[in-house]
Amino acid sequence: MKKIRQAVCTLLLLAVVGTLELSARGYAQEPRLTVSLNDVPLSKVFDVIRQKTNYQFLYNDDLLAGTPLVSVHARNAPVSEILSSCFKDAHLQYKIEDKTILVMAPPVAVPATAPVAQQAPAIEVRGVVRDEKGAPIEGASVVVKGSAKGVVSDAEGHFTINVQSEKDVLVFSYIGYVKEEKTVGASHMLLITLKLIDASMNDVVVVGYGVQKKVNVLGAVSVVKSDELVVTKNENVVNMLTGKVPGMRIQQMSSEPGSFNTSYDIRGFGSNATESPSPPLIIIDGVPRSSGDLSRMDPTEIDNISVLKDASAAIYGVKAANGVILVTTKRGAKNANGKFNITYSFNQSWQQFLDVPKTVNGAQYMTLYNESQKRNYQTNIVATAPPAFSDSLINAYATGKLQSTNWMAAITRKFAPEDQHNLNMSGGSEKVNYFFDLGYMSQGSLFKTNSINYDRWNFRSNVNLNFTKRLRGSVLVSGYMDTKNAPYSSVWTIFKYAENLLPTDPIYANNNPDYIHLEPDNANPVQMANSDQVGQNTYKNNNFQGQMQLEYDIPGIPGLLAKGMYNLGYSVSDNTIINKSHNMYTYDATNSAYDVTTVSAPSWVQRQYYTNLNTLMQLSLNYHRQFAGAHNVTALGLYEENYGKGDNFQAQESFSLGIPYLFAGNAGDYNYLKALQDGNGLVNQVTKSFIGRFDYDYKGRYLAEFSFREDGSSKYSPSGRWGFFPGALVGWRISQEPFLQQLISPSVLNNLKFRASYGKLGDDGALNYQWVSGYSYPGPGAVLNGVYTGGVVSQGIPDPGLTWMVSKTLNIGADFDLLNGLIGGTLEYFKRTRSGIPATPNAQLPGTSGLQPLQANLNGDVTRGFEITLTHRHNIGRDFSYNVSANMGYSRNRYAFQEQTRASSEYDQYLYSLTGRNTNIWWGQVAAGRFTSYSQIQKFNENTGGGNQNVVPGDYYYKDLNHDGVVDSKDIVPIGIRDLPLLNYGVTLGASYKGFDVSILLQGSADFHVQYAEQLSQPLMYQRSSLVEFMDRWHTKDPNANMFDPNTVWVPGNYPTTGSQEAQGTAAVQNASYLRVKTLEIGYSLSRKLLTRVGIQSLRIYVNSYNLATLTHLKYADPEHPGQTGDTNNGDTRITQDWNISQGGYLYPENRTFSVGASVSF
Amino acid sequence: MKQLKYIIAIAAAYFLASCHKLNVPPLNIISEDQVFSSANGVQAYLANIYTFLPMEDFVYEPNGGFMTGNGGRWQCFYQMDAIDGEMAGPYGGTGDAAQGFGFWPYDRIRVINILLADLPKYANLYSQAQLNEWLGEAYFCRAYTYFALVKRYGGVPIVNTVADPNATPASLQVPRDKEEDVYNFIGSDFDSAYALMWAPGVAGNPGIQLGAANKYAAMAYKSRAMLFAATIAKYGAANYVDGPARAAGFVGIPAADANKFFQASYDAAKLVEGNFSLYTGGYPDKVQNYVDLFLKPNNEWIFIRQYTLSDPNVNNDNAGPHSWDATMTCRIMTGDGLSRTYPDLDYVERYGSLPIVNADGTPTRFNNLSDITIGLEPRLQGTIYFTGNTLRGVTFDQQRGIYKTFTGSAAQELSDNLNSPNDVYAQYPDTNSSANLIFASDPNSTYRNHRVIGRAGFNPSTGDDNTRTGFYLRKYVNYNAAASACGLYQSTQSYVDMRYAEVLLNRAEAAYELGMTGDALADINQIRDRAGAVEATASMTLDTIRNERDKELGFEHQYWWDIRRWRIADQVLDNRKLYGLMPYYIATENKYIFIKQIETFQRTYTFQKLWYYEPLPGGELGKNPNLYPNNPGY
Repeated sequence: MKKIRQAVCTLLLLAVVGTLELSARGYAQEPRLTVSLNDVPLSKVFDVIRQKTNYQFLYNDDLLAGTPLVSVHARNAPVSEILSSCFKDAHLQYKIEDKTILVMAPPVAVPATAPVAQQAPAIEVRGVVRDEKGAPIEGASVVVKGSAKGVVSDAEGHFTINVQSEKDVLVFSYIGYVKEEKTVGASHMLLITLKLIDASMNDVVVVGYGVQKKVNVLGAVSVVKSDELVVTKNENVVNMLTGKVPGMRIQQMSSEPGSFNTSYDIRGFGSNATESPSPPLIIIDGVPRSSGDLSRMDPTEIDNISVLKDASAAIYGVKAANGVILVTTKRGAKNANGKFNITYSFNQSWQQFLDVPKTVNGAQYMTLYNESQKRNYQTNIVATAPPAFSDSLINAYATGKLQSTNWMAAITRKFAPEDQHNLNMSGGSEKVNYFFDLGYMSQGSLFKTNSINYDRWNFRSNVNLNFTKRLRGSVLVSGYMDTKNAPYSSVWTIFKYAENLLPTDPIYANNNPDYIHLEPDNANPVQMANSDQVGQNTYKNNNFQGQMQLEYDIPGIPGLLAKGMYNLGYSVSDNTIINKSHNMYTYDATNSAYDVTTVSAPSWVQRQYYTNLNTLMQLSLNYHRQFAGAHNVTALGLYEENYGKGDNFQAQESFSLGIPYLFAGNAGDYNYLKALQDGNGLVNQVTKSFIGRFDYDYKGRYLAEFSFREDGSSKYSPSGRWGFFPGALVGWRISQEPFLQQLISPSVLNNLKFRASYGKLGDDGALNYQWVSGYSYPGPGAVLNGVYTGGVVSQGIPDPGLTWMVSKTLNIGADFDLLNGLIGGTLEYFKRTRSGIPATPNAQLPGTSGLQPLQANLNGDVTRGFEITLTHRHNIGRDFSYNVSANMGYSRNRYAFQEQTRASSEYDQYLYSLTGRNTNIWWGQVAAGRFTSYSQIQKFNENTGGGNQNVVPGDYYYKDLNHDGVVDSKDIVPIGIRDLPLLNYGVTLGASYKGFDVSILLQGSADFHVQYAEQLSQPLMYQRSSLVEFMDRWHTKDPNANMFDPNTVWVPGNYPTTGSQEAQGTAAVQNASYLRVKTLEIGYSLSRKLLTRVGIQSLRIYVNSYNLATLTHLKYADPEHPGQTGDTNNGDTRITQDWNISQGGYLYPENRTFSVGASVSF
Repeated sequence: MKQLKYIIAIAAAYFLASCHKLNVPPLNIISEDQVFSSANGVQAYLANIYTFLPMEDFVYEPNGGFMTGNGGRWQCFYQMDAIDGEMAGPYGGTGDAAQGFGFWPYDRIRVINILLADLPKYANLYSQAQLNEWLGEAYFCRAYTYFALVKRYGGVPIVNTVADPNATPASLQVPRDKEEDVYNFIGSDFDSAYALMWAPGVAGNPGIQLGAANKYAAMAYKSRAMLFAATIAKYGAANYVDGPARAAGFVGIPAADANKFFQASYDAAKLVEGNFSLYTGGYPDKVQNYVDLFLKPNNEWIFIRQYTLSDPNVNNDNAGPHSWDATMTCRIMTGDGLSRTYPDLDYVERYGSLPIVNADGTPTRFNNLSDITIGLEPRLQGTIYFTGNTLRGVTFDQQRGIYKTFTGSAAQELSDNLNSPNDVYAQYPDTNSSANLIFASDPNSTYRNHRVIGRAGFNPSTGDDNTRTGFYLRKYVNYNAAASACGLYQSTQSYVDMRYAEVLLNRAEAAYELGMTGDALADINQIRDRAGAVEATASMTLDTIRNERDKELGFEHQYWWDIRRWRIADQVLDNRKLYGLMPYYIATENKYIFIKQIETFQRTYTFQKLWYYEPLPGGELGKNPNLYPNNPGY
């Protein structure tokens, strides 16, 4: 118990310098000292004692509040004597333990050693005081209610007290625990379990450039702790956050190993998936890092993640507009006897793939093909066409006489492995504590060849040092190395061809596995998914971070601390792209020969090398002091300088010897010899910032915070490179008001706080030296006399006033805690107004001017939303405890102003004008129904095109919304929300019983639609094959019936007849709302007794599943699998068709994993 | 103060580590001064102008625009000749192409205007001749760009100064100029180019820089542009859609000015004479000579665009490789890609009908497929790959199917079986069927040990990558490249945008229209002699000259503009269907026949009169109301 407390205190110190004070020194015997002080606060006395001795004090600031001033005059007196004299009037109790002076809660009126009143006969009551986990509590006070009589429990938690009657009531109390009352009863024996006062009340939260007590936090800040994080098992830290942070939208687009293809944003502000506006700012241990760095962290090294969503981020200034994700890594803990922990954990997963498209077989393909041919009005009415495929042929495939090829099955496997290993050591002493971490993970892919695969090593060494009692330091060193391998053929093309190649085509020419069959576009998936044949892409990232920090308590001014920090980050991306020429064959039956065709010739290898160096320096002064026992003041002043340098080069050469290295290239082949540099990757940037924060609270009741940041960047013109970003936050912790405490007991209403914040933040992600006019070289050029001559290209016309976009964020929130954790929650409302979003000001500029203006600060938008978090925690008996936490976030974005060219008609104005309109609207026709019979088609009085001659039962019809008698592209209206869901929620359920524990994370999204393209949207796309779902279609009962004959009997289905127009609008756009069991973990911790015998401290084993089950209306596709992005027709200039988001629907699928794992500590 | 040492140590460490200034200039931006102060800088500036010159080269898409960078640059089958019926292809409606793609290259014109305005400030750094040469190139490129505009829109604003970036948008709303004024401006810019540039190779001057303009190129293009204006004046006076834009002269040129432009065209063409000549380096084989004309640098090339596999800016400019070889012949002769456009029989019949039907109407029997080319004009054989030709060691065998037996006439067969547009789908290898005519989708399908279809033949099930007309294009196809080197983005043969044969044809047409028939006849016969054709006689008509132009410049993206400027597009493309020449094998006779049939894409081509001009880009009308009125009909 004691050790745990010390450890907790040490951690708190590291976190909240000044809120809880602790000064550590070792001493063997009680020292004597001389003190002379008049009318000073107790804390001053402690300071003097601390300075003159090596005693440490342990107390909570709240205890000293309201204690009277004291005067002490002692000559060479023992510490205890001095303390006793001070504490005379303070209603505090102290206790010297080891070298620590514990100052405790108001003691019982009479000390335990007070004489027992001479009344007889006394009943001796015995008992044990324990905490919820059954550990004994030492030093708990046991008082007879209504008397002054009391004792203190011993090291085993035992106590013995004499009472007058069995009806007497005993009151048990201990710092940090809920007071408990119990009647003595007949047995004279009592077993008392004290519950912790909601520990979260004393939690600290990492905020920008510091930490704050959770109860004092005024901003919208969400925290995910290590144990909450790691319960989800995934290779990407971002995926492990899904459903855990209210207001954070996370969508895992694919589970492709090493692609980390997860899109996320905070409150819909700015996503990592698009370059502009910029993604949330990622800060790892105080250092700005990339989204990819966050994804690639070893989850075990993370202590906690704070997400700043409002003006609390203003302290990050010009980069903060889209929120900040702060990651803090683990530190070692002081261990009194120098003991250390070694923990090894492993996780073995099997990945299963969700909604991998299934393709039709030969007979199905031919049936669909014949239908589409019959469906053709022209050919069927003008002259009835014979079917392309005869019944006998279809039958041959249906009966297996002829073999269909299942391309997808030929390249994929059902399960793919993934594993993670982690070894860490932590420990500490008075002088040093440390945390070392080594992690490894590897992930295989769904391809049978495993040609896509990924592995990663993570390393971290965090060391904290106490040099002297005033000077402390830390050294943080970390890095990762990872490698992704993939076949040269892009992954999406492998899926595309596996989905659309004909099932009647063979994989191998003449079915001879030595001869890959030549397929259209030279695309045979079996070959494409095999790096040995087509070549391999290897992407390696190496990242190193080294950080040194020193902090120094400045003598003379209590509470003033100077800090300095320097971080050096270096990363290298080292890629090798190998294109191998390969052979494909056709079999020439007439001559019994294999005709070869060599494709992708010549073979070539390309190396790409990118380096980045970043340094960060911070110097700061921190001040924390309480005045007059009521006014708490914290202040921070910080100077920061950031330097970034990036460089790169690429080299390429063809090779013919089969050795894919540059040295073995074909030196004479200048056509494929390239040496390149990406001019945009040539970075040289400096930013300087002055940062300040001032916190004030009065008795923890009225709280206020002001922060600012003055940012200067070399990216802007000298006249406009500095920007000022202030933030103000206020709060009222009404639960601390005496009037409210009288109305509602503080043990019922533990906490109620109202807060508001407003700040100005910036976003400079979209800008890069656009104020400089001039030419870039070499730009697009021409071949003159056979020699390539690079061109010079004007940069365009700069707007000298161009600057970052400004966002102003308002947040109003409330936090409450009731009944020690039974109910807790947070409510947030936010509104962000953004102005100066850069856009090219050519909407009004006639093209004849020839001016190519660069961006100017033109557009604006508004984002509004709310978040709700509710928590519930409860213990039933000693062994069973559970907790529930639910969160939900909603966010909507609207164009406040959008610069646009004047529309040419009122209708176009309605359709294309964006100002004042919500973003991410899906426009489309509204399906009114589908035709079920010929008579319905004949009576239909609107023209769906071509006078409805080419319409058959099963076809959709749409509403003529503009009532012009024709149903066409002018009948579109907003029909859905695209790209990212508006509403996101998560529910975490946790329970433990004895050694067992269960965690479930339910996560979902609503208000979000998808439409799929290409192969997922229609059968026989590009005259190729089809997916099986399209067999569920309207078709004639008799396959040979004429589709345009009114007497034909139809069989209904989900899709229109093959060959009909693709579904449009609401018939095609699907609601992708979903609820899924993101995480399920069941664990068992072996009993400590058993383990200590074999020298193991703890051992936990578990089974886990990721994406176990999903509830959605969506058919044949995973809801997180992205569909088509924006519809360019609606004039939305900011979100246009981005092939990379969904890759036409051919993106590598999502996965579900089943894992077993264990972690063991020595 | 023993702690002082720590403070000093800390402070020192930090100040050593950080001494960065905020004034960090970007590393990759250079000033205009640096550009124009060096010859290499000016060359680089011009190289950028050349790469974006609106040339309708291998990768130009009539409804997609000028392709730069990889991406669209492989789809050589989305080409002009497939929208006007010169070729048959699955994509690109005539109307889509005719209504344009919002072409409005004033940003490029500004780049040229900057050179013309600012380069003279650096005159002291260069010789007068060098300075004039560069300015001449700029005038050439400006005229070239305006011609690309005027032939699409008619009159457009003439901008020959550099607009001030600080001007208000309203002051930049320049009005349209008349079509005739734009042509005059183009003529004058070409004249300036001619006057300023040196005569290549003469008196110690440098020779022609391939890919760049030269003195005589200015005149060659002037002859093209002036002929365009002249025919519009003459034929547009009779065949037009009326509207305010026409009344204001924004479209249309007074017929009275036709001869002025014909004369300008003739004079310009005559100035080229003696400086370039028709290629005859491949004689005596006139077929091979004609093939090599497009592949081997020669003195017929006046202005070309070159390509390289090692283009470092391949994703942004027009110097990277194209995919002509991969997309013009069938897959069995290439390493990748697919062909989708094919010359049609209509082009072939410009040379006269083929001997495929006997006098009694029965199809002529051939012992070999290659016999069809016997006696054909060398130029035709050099333009088109016929059945029986060989490329890269593989023989073209575009056989369409097998007749077990064949009796009767070709016409009867057409009306009985082949005119049904569906036969293309009746395809699967059902060789046991009782049908007399057998098709297949698999070249391995055999009937009595004879392939049902040729490997280069009609194979609809695998998409469009085998001929639909019986022909493949030969012009520009690099027969020397290995099949494996004929993948996408692997072709680098130059595009010849202006060659001397066109100058002669321009001259012949202008001369004929001016009544100088003798000059015209001499020009035509120069062409015919090189083509290996029978010489023309004095009885030739304007149609002879136009037909000669269509034959000589076939598949060089000229036909589209020619039928527009002659104002015959609406008659030529009036619900027009295209024909192919389909080879069949007759099993019982062991002979081949060819039947003239509608090509199997079954495309129909129609041209509406209003399409003689493209509509002005809608966005520009929104930004500049002074551009109204829009062209007639829009």
